[in-house]
Amino acid sequence: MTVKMLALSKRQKQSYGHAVLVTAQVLVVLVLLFPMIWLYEGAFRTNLDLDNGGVIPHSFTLANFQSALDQGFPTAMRNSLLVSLVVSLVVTTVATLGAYGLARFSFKGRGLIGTTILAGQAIPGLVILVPLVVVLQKLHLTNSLVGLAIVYLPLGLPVAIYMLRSALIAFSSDIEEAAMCDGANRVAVVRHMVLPLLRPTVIAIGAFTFTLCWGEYLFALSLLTSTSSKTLPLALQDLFSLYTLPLGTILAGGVLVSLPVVLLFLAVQRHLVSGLLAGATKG
Amino acid sequence: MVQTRPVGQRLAVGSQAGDNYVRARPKGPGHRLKLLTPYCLTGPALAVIVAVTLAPAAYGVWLSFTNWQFLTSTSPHFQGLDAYRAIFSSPAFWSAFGHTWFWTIGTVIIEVGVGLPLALLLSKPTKVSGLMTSLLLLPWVTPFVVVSYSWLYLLGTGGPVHSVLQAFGIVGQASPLASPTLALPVLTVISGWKGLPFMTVAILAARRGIDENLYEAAAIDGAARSQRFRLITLPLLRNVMIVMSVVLGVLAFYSFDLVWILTQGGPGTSSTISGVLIYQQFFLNGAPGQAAAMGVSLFVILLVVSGLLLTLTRVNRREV
Repeated sequence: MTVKMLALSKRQKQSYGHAVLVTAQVLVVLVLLFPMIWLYEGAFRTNLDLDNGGVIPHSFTLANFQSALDQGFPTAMRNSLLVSLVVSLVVTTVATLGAYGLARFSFKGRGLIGTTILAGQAIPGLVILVPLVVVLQKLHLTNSLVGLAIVYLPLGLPVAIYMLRSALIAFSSDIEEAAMCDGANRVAVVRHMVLPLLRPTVIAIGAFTFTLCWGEYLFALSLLTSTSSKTLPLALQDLFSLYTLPLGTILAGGVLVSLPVVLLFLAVQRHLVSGLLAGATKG
Repeated sequence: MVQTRPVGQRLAVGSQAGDNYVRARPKGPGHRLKLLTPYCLTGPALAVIVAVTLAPAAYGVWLSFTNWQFLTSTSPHFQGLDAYRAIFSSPAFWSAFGHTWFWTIGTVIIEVGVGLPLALLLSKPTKVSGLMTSLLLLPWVTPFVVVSYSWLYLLGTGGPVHSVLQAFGIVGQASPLASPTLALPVLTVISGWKGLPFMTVAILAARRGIDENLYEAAAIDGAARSQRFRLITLPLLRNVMIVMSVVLGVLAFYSFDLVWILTQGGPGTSSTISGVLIYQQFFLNGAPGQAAAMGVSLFVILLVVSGLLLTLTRVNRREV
């Protein structure tokens, strides 16, 4: 009887401890997420409701999105989508080829090429801002999405190559070589054996590059001034600075800018986070 | 022992087999082509990095020796160290430099100070720990522009965070961003908040990697909870915390977005960090030579400091 009571109380104690842990975890994360929660719920509140202050919504409206879309958001969205898609496609292609070359061939200069590509990661955008803008002005590539896309190319490339190369090294090349000895050509081996293995990593770095381009602010601010070439971060800035627009419109703008990358991240996060952590701590 | 050969050695052996296969075929133009394959594969990536990062960096170093100013000249001419003399003798440069260190160190302290306990809390497996870790990362993936405007209103008069701070008497009627003494600290807290998720997830991953048997053995040997933390958890998480501090510290050092959007470096120059000063020097004062010299100086200083930090703390990145 005493033993049974002791056991019960231990289990009760455990489930009590579990409940405390769950509460603590949820509460702390909710507090840290408050600025995001406020942005997302505020975007659906009427301006009257927002002006009254408070964090509990008393209204629901989609009018804020309509008014944000009336302020040049569709053009900016098209521009951002175009640049981010093109850059992430080019970067994933270039990175996959490069990582395959570095991981599966031994050739003269391999170490140097690998180090040079990684060195690109060490030079931050702020340091090359001035020379890049001067050169692009000379080439008449300011106010141009082509110029912007060129500047964005190295944003995620070194990390992408590092992640893909690590993934390739983790998979032994023995099977690929056996297939080639049996007469399969390299292109077929890459298509049917290497690419399927790399797929999760390729998708993760594509999403990573897309996210970097989508939210990039410094170079967009420095290179784009015409309304027709502006990207979303600048359109959001315009909502705030050009007119005296109500808060709800700006919050809706914030949701429109952040929602695509938030959803993209939730879709690929498992592969992305582990790859980035390895890249940050060992790269 | 055969199984424990290092990866590099195994790869070398593997590729030799590949070479033999190539050599077994009759040599000719096809053989030449095969030798070129790795260069064709890595060429595009190399070209991008050289053309869009390394060459501009070299051009930036050249520009820093010109002291070029849009007002006096339409093209850059070599002027030795004039630009460096000008920036090193300007109080604005040193003030921004000081602000940048305050901002960087403050950001990292917040990231580690909150990140470590948060990671340990989330490392306890519960029904919600996975979900909470995912959600935690959302501010980190959200573009800086979005969180900046969000914070602008949260801190503005009548905003939810402002109301709380006002209730505690920390701020007055106006936004703390309008106060010369509070602007930089408040911006630093927001910067730490933005980088916190990545630090937390890194520590969390390292904590998951610690063998639970260590804790059980220590408990059996009579180590108290605090002793287990001090003698097992901290030493084993030390390396990842140092490396991530350097990585996130470097990122913070080159910040621009948050400060530019929230205060443009103001009020006055009270929150001007180096990134903001470089932008102003180039776009507002029309002095690309001095802006380039600032960029080069910051790069060299930070390279030396982060190298020293990693050496002094004896962290080998490969061992993390």
